[in-house]
Amino acid sequence: MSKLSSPALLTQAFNFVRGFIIIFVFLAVGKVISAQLPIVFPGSIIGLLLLFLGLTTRLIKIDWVIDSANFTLKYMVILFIPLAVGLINYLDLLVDNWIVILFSTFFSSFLIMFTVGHLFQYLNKKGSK
Amino acid sequence: MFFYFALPLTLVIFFLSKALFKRKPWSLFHPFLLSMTTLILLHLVFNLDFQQYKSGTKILTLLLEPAVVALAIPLFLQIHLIKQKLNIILISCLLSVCIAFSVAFYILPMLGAQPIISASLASQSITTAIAVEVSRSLGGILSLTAVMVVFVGLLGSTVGRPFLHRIGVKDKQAVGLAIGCASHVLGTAKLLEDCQEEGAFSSLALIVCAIFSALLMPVFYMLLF
Repeated sequence: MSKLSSPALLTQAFNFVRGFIIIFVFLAVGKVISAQLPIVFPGSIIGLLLLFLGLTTRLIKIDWVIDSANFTLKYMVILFIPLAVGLINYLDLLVDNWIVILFSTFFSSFLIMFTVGHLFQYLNKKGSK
Repeated sequence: MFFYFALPLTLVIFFLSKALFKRKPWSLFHPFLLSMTTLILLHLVFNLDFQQYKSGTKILTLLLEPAVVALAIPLFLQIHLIKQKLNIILISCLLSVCIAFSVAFYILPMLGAQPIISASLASQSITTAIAVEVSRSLGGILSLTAVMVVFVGLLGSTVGRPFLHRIGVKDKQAVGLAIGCASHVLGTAKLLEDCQEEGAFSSLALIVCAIFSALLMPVFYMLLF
C-alpha cells in the first residue's frame, strides 16, 4: 500500500468501494426482509428506505456514500438498455397497441401535470398565509 | 460468440449516442432511445440471437437493484424541504399515483388495451428502476415499461414547463413537483439546468411518487381486480 505515490487517489478509491459496499449491504438486508413479507414488495425499495433511515439517524454518514451514489445515478440509464432491447420480442404487441401507447403517454402526463400542479400551487399558497 | 460482444457493443453504442446527442440535442436523439433503436435494428438486420445478448448484458440488469438503493442519497439531500412541506408533498404525490393507476386500468381498457398493456403502462411516470419493479409485480411487460418511461420523460422535459405556465401554474415549487410526478428523472434533469428550486422539488416528487407507487399500486390491484 505504501508504494502508491498518490494518496489522494487511494482515498478516493477507498471512498468508492466503501460507498458501494454500504449500498450492497442495504440491498441485501432489503432482499432478506422482502423474502419474509407475505406480499410482493421489491427488496431494492426496502433497501432505499432503510438507507434513507440510516442517513437521517446519522448511522451512515452522507460522505461515505455520496460519490458512489452520484456515479451510479449519472450512468444509471445504461442499465436499462438491455431491458429496452428486449422489446424486440414484443414488436407485434407494439404495432397492435400503438394508439393506446400514444394516448397513455400524452393523456396521463398532461393530466398529472395539470392536477398536481394546480393542487400543489393552491395548497402551498394556503399554507404560507 | 455474440455473447462476449454484447456488453462492449452496448457500451460503445451508448457512448457514441451520447456524443451525438451532445452535438445535436434533439429529443428523439436521446442516448437511451438511440442506443435502443440501434441495437434493435442490429438484431433485426444481422439476425442476432437476443438470448445471447441478454445473457451477455446480464450484469447491467443486475446492477439495477443497487441503483434503486442509491436513490436514497438525493432524497436525503432534500430533507430540509421534506420537513417543511411534508403534508402537501405527500398529498400531491398520492394524487399523481392514483391518476396514473386509474388512467391505466380504467381509461386505457376503453380504448381496447389488454390487461397486460395496462399493467405495463401503470408505472410509466415513475423512475425506470422502480417502474420496472412495479410492472413486474402487476404482471406487465418490463421492456415495454422501460421504453414508456423514457417517452413520458422526454415529453415532460420538452413541453412540461411551457405547458404548466400556460395553464396558470407559475409557482416554482408547484412546477417542479408536477414535472417530477409526471416525468421523473428526465424532467428533473431538464429543470435542474435552469432552476435549483424547481429541480429540488422535482427530484423530491420523483422519489416520493416512486415509493408510493411501489407501496400502493400492487395493493390497489389486489383489492380492485
